[in-house]
Amino acid sequence: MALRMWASSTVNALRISCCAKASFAPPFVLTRCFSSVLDGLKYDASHEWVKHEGPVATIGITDHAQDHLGEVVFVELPEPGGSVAKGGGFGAVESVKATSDVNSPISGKVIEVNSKLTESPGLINSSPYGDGWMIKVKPSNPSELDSLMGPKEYTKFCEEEDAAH
Amino acid sequence: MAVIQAKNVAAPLMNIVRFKGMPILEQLHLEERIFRTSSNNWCIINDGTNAPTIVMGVSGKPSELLELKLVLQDKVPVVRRFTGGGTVIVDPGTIFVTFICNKDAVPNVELYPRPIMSWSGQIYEDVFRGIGDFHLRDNDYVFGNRKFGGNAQSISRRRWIHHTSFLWDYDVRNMAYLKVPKRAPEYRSARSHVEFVCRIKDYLSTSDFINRTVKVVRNRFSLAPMQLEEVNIHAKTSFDHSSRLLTKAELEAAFVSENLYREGTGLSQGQFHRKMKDVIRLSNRLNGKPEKEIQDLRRNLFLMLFSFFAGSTFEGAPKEQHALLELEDTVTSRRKLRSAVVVSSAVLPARQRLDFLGW
Repeated sequence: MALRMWASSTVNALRISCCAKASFAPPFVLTRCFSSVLDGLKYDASHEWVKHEGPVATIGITDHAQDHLGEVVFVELPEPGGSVAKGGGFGAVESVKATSDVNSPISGKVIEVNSKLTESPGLINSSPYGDGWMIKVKPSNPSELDSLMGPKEYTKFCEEEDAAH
Repeated sequence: MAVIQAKNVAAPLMNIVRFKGMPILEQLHLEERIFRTSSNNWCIINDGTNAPTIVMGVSGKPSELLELKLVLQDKVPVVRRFTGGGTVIVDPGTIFVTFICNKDAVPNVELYPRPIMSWSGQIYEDVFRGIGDFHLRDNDYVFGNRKFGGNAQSISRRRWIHHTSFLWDYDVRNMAYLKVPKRAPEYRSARSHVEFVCRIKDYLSTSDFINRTVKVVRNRFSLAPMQLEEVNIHAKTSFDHSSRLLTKAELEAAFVSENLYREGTGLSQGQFHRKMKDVIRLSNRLNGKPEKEIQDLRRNLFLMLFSFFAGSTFEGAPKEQHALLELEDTVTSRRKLRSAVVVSSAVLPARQRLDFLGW
């Protein structure tokens, strides 16, 4: 069972993640990883989140994703001004000798990218819903948000995915 | 026999392509094209590449990873590949084995780096069973505590590629081109390349190693041998590759900037950039401009030669900083670099250094 987190600005302080110390597994630690899932965001099946506030949507990867990816050492982001398509890749993160595509949950125009990630890619690990945001987009089709998962659905999706492996 | 056949009927199909001596850049282009445009599973084996080549991962920085003076002097080609991971120097003694799989072909493997690495570790455990003290250690393949195989991956929504360069044999002299990386696994214990790696040659012939690998893969997949010409049936013929050869100008610029930091300023790259940002911030303050976050100084967005001359991007930044930033940026032509040097008197030490480049 994933632990459901309802905090907002204090979520990172309260976040529980047992995968951070992967090599140490005392008997009383549960083997399932707990990831935080924020209320108010929408989620897609490839583990990106989107926060829609008026004309701007902010996109990043979820706590579940960063936990499974490991320490992020490099982030590839698009240039502002480009466009993204729902389900299409817009960048990549590098961790544990792998580049992993990051996909956009919605279509739109990229209006800002998080330049802090160039110097501090680890923000994706330490603050996936906060300072680790990746791009801001002007949605071209806001109804696409309706087809995304809410927090409860996404939590269940993660549980099922972890249980299947 | 009937049991084995029944097992293979249920096993997912995998195309297997084998080469000998294919240039590594050509191999990387082929792999990326197959990874991105084919929907089949693939095993690619290249028995040795044609010439010694340095291959860096997607985020590798030449100044941090390479002995650039030697690399430039000996004109060693440097390729940046599309997958993550570290830097290797490959040559005719390197054997490459690549797996490109659909998520559905290996349903127990989650599309994340560690599960995929674990899957491949199991394959090679079977390959080297009874041969040596094989382990997957910190994402490397080792005999004991000596590395003989380096791995890298790329993962998309539904597919992944895991490729390995195996040191069947290597030329010790080639190791001189590589620095000991700052980011290294703990088990390396700061050993030099020569003390850290070992050769499969001491355990198996090339044909034995390749045959054993194919046999293990055949136990898990239904293999369909394929010739290179047939690959185009299964993957797009034209594709925008991201793996590429770094230019001489890029390597020279990296060398110059590395020496500017160390000898010219006594600072590391990170310290240098932090100092630059402080100067710009103070300069803005002295000029009565509002405090604002300084963007990444290295982004091309801010470092175009055009904007340098237009003076539009760095408010209040001294000219010396403009010129130093231009030098640090990846230069695409000597003319641009010479212009940046000429404009700023602060780069006189760099100009002396640039003399050796024959400018």
